[in-house]
Amino acid sequence: MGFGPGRSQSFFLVLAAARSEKLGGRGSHVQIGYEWQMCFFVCLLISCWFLGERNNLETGRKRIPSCSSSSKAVLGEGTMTYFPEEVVEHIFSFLPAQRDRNTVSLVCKVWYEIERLSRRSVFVGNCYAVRAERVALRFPNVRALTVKGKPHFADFNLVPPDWGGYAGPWIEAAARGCVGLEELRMKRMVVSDESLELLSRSFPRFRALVLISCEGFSTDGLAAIASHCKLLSELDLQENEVEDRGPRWLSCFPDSCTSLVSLNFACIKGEVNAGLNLSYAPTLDASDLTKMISRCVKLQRLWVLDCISDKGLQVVASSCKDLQELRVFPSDFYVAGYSAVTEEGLVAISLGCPKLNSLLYFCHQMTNAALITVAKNCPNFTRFRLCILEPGKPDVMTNQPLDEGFGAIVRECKGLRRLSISGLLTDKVFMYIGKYAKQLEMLSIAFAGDSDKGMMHVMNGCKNLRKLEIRDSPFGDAALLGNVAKYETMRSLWMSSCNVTLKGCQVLASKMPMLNIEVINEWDGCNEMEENHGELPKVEKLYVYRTTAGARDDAPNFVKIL
Amino acid sequence: MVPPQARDYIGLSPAAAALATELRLGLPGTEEADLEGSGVAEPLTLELLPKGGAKRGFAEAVVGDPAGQRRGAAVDEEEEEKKKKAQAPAAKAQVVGWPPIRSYRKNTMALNQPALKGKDSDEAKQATASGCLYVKVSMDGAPYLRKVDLKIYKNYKELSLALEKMFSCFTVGHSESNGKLGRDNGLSDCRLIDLKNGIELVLTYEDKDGDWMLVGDVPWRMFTDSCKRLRIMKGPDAVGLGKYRYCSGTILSSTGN
Repeated sequence: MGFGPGRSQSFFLVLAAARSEKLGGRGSHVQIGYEWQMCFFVCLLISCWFLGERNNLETGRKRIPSCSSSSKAVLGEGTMTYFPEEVVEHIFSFLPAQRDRNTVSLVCKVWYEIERLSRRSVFVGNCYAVRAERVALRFPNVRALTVKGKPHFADFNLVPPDWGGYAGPWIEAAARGCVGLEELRMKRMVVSDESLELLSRSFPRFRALVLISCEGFSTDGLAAIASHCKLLSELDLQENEVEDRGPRWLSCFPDSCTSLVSLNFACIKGEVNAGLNLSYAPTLDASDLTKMISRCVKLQRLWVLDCISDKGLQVVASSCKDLQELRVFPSDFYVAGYSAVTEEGLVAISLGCPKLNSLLYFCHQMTNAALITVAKNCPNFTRFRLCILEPGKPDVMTNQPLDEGFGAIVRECKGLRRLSISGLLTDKVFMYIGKYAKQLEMLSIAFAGDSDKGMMHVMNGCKNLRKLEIRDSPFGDAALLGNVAKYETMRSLWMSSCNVTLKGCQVLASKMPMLNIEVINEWDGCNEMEENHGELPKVEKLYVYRTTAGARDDAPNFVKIL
Repeated sequence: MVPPQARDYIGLSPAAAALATELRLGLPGTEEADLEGSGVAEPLTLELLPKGGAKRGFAEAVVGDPAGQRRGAAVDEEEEEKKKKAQAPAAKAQVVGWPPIRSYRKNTMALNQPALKGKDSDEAKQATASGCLYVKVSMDGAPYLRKVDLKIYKNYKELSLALEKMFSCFTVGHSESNGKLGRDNGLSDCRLIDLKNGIELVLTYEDKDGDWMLVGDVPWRMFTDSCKRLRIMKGPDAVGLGKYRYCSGTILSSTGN
């Protein structure tokens, strides 16, 4: 029962293949440590070997003919094809995470084929990073598809309308190639009624549609979904711009359908265990609110408005010991100075809710001391988003920048994956972020920093950075070009109202052909202005993302792809 | 009585901005010279980026109409009172996309505001317009439209300045009246100019009844309640309306007439 020559040959072949990203077609952009690969493949081989020896498997499905013939041709006898595809596929089924599946598909052509035909769930973080047809061709048996469109800052009107992010090509490609589709999730995309109609007619097993922050459709499109998707069990619409053409669409659901539509609700009776969203309910009296929340001792997720006040947050802190996620939204955006929650409320929460790992907090003031305390009390943060409503506001007690406070957050919260910073911040905070935030995947910066050094700290230090979005900060070409290879490891970079020039973007484009550099200047006529002013034209909005699809062909005329 | 002090919203260059945004109360026309001199005629750009050029103006900074320029309307008196009370600057610079809240939430909250707490009810009323939030703005000759949120402006002047910024790439500028026009604050506040040709543009809007009206005739709030879309007209269509304006007083254009 040792490793015969054939098996050790295949063992080394597999290892060699794993180290080469060229074999087996283009997977996704993954970075895996060699040690991890070693462990994984050793375990895989051993388990394959055991299963193969016992030969104790159901073989209900046909062998994939192309698979075995190509594999024999490429790899020869005594290789991994000793094990039927069902075995390998069965093993792959224990790897639901997309990153792992992308990894195995890189090993060899055989595994690539097995993996792609058995892939059930595909996540496309940027709809322009890959062509829709290509995804549909590669994964014909996909059941759940998630696609995201516009950059995050589109939520705040920083991306002009008609920028792009059209769902049409995705639904069309899936209709042609992936008829077994059951679930579709889209975020920040433009979805037309025609697309919804096509969706409703193309997938007989379709059962779940989730649209978040989308636009371009009306209730007519929803009526089509309701009418034709006989197996629909989930319809989740969150914060979409839907043209309301009347309530007729609601009556299109068959009686057998249980559909779920996100609702805004103003009052809850009884206890709530999992989640409570009161963020659209300003009419709730603060004392009623706190009374209600004090009964929800098992609450894990709470979304409220800042009229809950620091006092209310203290009640939350003393009652909701299981709280994991808290979001406090501002209730009145147009008046500065009125503050219902301050740093004190946040400190109280951190003291009372040690399980807190996700925070979104809008307030008018903050202090370094408070942030340092919060960091010590809650080292488990994975998402920490603090928005001090006045851009560039310093520590309200000391008048210092908030570098030390955020520095403490990144230092203590070793698992931090998402961070949004605000207030008065110098390059120092970026030094801390680059130094400590090793798990950070998404960073949002606004009105912060002094020089290019700030952005460079982040680009050089944050090894796991995937999305970087910056607005109104003094980072220019030097920062943009300081680490160009980094962009290939990231999903995207957004920079608006910074100091990047067109020349810098052109240099980046010439150095990195696998990136799309989108320069978004909303006005064609701005060419005139540039000439007149005679200085280097600054780029208003810049969106950089890696892609296998090349320059997109649906860009509007105010988007220039270099 | 101490005139309310407007603070620079960003708070980074208070000294520079303080004079320009100082509010004054008084009869129309008396402070014009002072205010013009201190540069309030130009829209404030928020000097957040020391290296940034003046043309950047990333923020659609709008100059709050100093209380002193309000003439006559009862509506304005209420606003003056509110400005006296409030610590917050009346000249509130609205930065695009800030705070980072989804439009959906902003719109929903704005609609809910009237039911809110009493102490800010004036502000809440100010911020709420039943019906109109984002309206489309078209300009004759421009290839595409824009959208503005009427609720973030307090008066015609802010709207006009914002439109000027928005369409500045089409060489639209703002024409300053010299203020001696009597009650026609709305009309005089909405003077836009095609800088290239020196002709005045006419700002019109479509109201709830579907009629096209000249912007500036009615009090601001009545306007925001009924405005469905905006159109900046130029060319022969505007001639009839333009003539009306030329008659109202002298106009300063960038061509230096």
